[in-house]
Amino acid sequence: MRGRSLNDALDELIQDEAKEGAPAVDWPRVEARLFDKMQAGAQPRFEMRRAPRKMGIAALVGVAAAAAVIAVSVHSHTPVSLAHNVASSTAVQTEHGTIDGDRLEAGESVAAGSSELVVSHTERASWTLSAGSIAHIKRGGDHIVVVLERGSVLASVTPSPTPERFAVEAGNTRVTVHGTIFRVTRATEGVSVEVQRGTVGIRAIEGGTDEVSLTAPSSAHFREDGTIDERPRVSAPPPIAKGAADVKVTNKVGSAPAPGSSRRRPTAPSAEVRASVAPVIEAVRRCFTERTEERGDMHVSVQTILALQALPSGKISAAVFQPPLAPNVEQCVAQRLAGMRLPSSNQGVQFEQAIVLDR
Amino acid sequence: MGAVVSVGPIRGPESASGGKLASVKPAKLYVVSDANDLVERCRSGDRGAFRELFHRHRDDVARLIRRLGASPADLEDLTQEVFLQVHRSITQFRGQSRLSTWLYRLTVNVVLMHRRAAGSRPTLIAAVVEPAGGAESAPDEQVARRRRIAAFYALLERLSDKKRAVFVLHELEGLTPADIAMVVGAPVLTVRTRLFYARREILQMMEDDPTLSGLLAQDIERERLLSPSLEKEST
Repeated sequence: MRGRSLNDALDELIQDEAKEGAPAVDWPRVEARLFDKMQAGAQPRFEMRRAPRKMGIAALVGVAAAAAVIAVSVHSHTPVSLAHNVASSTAVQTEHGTIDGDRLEAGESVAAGSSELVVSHTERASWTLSAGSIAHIKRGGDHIVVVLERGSVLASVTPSPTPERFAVEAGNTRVTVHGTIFRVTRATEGVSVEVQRGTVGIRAIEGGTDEVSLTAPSSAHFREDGTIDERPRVSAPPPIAKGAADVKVTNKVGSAPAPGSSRRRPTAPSAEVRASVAPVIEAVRRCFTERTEERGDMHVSVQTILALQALPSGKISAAVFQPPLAPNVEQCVAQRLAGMRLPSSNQGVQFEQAIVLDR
Repeated sequence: MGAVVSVGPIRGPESASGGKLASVKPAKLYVVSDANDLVERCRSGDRGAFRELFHRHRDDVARLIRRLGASPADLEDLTQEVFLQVHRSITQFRGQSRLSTWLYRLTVNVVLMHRRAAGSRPTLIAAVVEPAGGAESAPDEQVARRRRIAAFYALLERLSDKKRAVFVLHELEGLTPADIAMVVGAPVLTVRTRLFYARREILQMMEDDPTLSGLLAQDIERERLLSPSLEKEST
């Protein structure tokens, strides 16, 4: 392409394309078909039904950070009024098992047939209904609320600083996701919550003020009213169901590799190292306090493990929170750590410490 | 998708004194209303209003569908699907964004869903759809231009869905990154990044594509022959 740049050539192509008229379409035929379908109340490629409006009273509030994958299961307590949904579930499977969540309106239901059904909300979240599961949209838009009526759902939420961007309700339990991986199971009585990654806070919507934090790997069972009836226990994280988008978030300060994997337990640092790292921990606490919004009387408690790596010069080369903190908190921490130095040493410092942050 | 206007009769003319001219049959005057009126009528179940909305936007929707990589065979079905979505969800449209932005969003979603459902992406759009309007160019120029556009569509086809969407919306539809961000539900910075990489990939593909290089070279040669004076000036 002599004498002119590729950029110019591309611009001319764009101009050429712009000169093209609208594509030739048999509009009378399209219009006739369109209005016929509208007249018939045509359903989209997946079945949508109006869902019952009554919601539960218990809430599970996630207070961890960025990306999230959750799994929610309902094993029983299927309302009688939903019995017909089961029978029709095979008819609602989409051709390729994926539907556009942005097209779903509040109150509309989606049911998976004989295989998984993936619902994708552009740039925000996707959730996978297991075979035979039924869910409906309680709320769309920027704050999606999915109500699981039957079966199980595994959700992946795109990292966002927006609080409570995605929630799943199962029976009388509500799970709001900010960033973690956990499974909620609707048992015969109550709800089981199993945290696969990160930290969640759990409380009742009505009648409860104490929040329970669960940090992975752990699980707990909650009564119908949202109160805990079993203390958290450490458990091995179950495998993520097939089809889940496991969004792993590792925020680093500096470019050095993460000093610890997510499965490593905190080491026991020496008193000297612990003392030298104390200002770092204090900086994290300050950022958490300053950047975590107050929510009325709600007490927010987050457990995380800080893995820190410093060069022999004392310069902090990496700081990783597992589970990650909220993006705005981590941003604050990154800014503060950039100006901090640990005491110099021969081999540098690698350090892990569990931190409980309260607001 | 330009501004939406709807027309409807208003009351007849009045005399200068304010009294009605009883003997005069009301003139057929129309007042131009904005998109909100049309949407409001659609939301109230006015099928005539929806037909009007369809007529006003169908060409733009079809053009965007084509630009987003739908095959001519799917064009009608997808256009119909977009307007079915509009009909279903018009009650949810609260006017937070412009109607055109909302239509863009629905159209992009329908096309992307269709492409995902189709599983494999078509490798090439074989032919450019005949334009509805007559071109004023000479036939040989039309042919050459259509060949270039076909090659251009083939390049767009090789972009990822996300990059193609932002590239088409910006470069061909003229939307700003901020508007595109609303359409695709991504941050503006992400949109800008996708635009940058989309353009860079296309330029790279153009450089590597002998067919397109040849077409453009022919184009340059034809321009040179048609404009000898320019050639002299340049030398």
